[in-house]
Amino acid sequence: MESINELLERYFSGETTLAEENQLKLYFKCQNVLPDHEIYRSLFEAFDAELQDKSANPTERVQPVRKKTTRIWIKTFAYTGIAATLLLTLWIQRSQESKNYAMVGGKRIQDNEYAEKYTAQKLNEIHDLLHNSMKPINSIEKVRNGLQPIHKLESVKKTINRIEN
Amino acid sequence: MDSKQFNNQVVALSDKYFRLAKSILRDADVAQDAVQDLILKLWEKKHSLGDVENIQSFTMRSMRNLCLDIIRQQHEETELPAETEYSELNPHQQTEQKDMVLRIKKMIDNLPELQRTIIRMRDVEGMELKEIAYITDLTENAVTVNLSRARQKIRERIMNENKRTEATIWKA
Repeated sequence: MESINELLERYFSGETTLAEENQLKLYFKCQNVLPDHEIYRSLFEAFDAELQDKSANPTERVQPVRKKTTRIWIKTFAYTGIAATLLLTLWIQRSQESKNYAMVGGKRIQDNEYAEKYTAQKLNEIHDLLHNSMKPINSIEKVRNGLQPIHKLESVKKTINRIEN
Repeated sequence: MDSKQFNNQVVALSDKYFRLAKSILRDADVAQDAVQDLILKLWEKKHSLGDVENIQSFTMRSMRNLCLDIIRQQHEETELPAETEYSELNPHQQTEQKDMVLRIKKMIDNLPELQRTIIRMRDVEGMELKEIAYITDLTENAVTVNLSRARQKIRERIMNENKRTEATIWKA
């Protein structure tokens, strides 16, 4: 008790070291504070309580001004990122679409309806072309049919010759 | 000093700045604004902070000077005269401030600026006398004298409170 009394007197005279003051703080934190010293317990509790006062985080409210070059880099990265994302999206979309397409005159056509109409038109053209190409063959057939009586005349001639002989 | 060092060495001490500013200005909102002002000003000077030997002492001293400027700008309207004595609590105030810890805080708040700053830097923040002397621009001896006066006044007020409480109990 005497040493605490002495420490307290020196404390109030401003003569204690930090280590001695910490010793007093520890003493007043424990449960065995003597009744004569109880009066000072609140003083040391008040110091502890004040240490709990915290500043609202100034970094949340005050953002230090960043250099312009940093901002430019951030913008550059952001725009590059956005562009890369768009390109990737387009590439994925096109790679999925590329499974179903037609090539016409070196051009890729992915419109199904257009492709069907285009195909039908081309088939009609082929049909017409074939039809026209078959015309000379039909004419030959007609000639052949027209020559059939001549072939008959040949057999008649042979029959006449046989009769004459 | 780059932004990481600034955060670690300057912004990390914000609670200490705040407590010092609150002790001097006796207003939490004004103290908070003062802390933000200080951090902005220090950020603007961050390149020269690298040469500072003791960042805590330097920034705490800057905080105190900034607070004293604020008080001067307010024409010391909010500042109690240096020799204002602690007024005894009337029964109504006693009822409002039953908590002795709160009453002691109030007692410290009513000390002159220099004494309340010094007692808090020593007893709350646990600073060395040398550091307090640098922050307050006093000699170590002057710090010891002011610290002693502050503690003695608080002791007297606590004892007076205690006597009056005992007297009230006896009367009852």
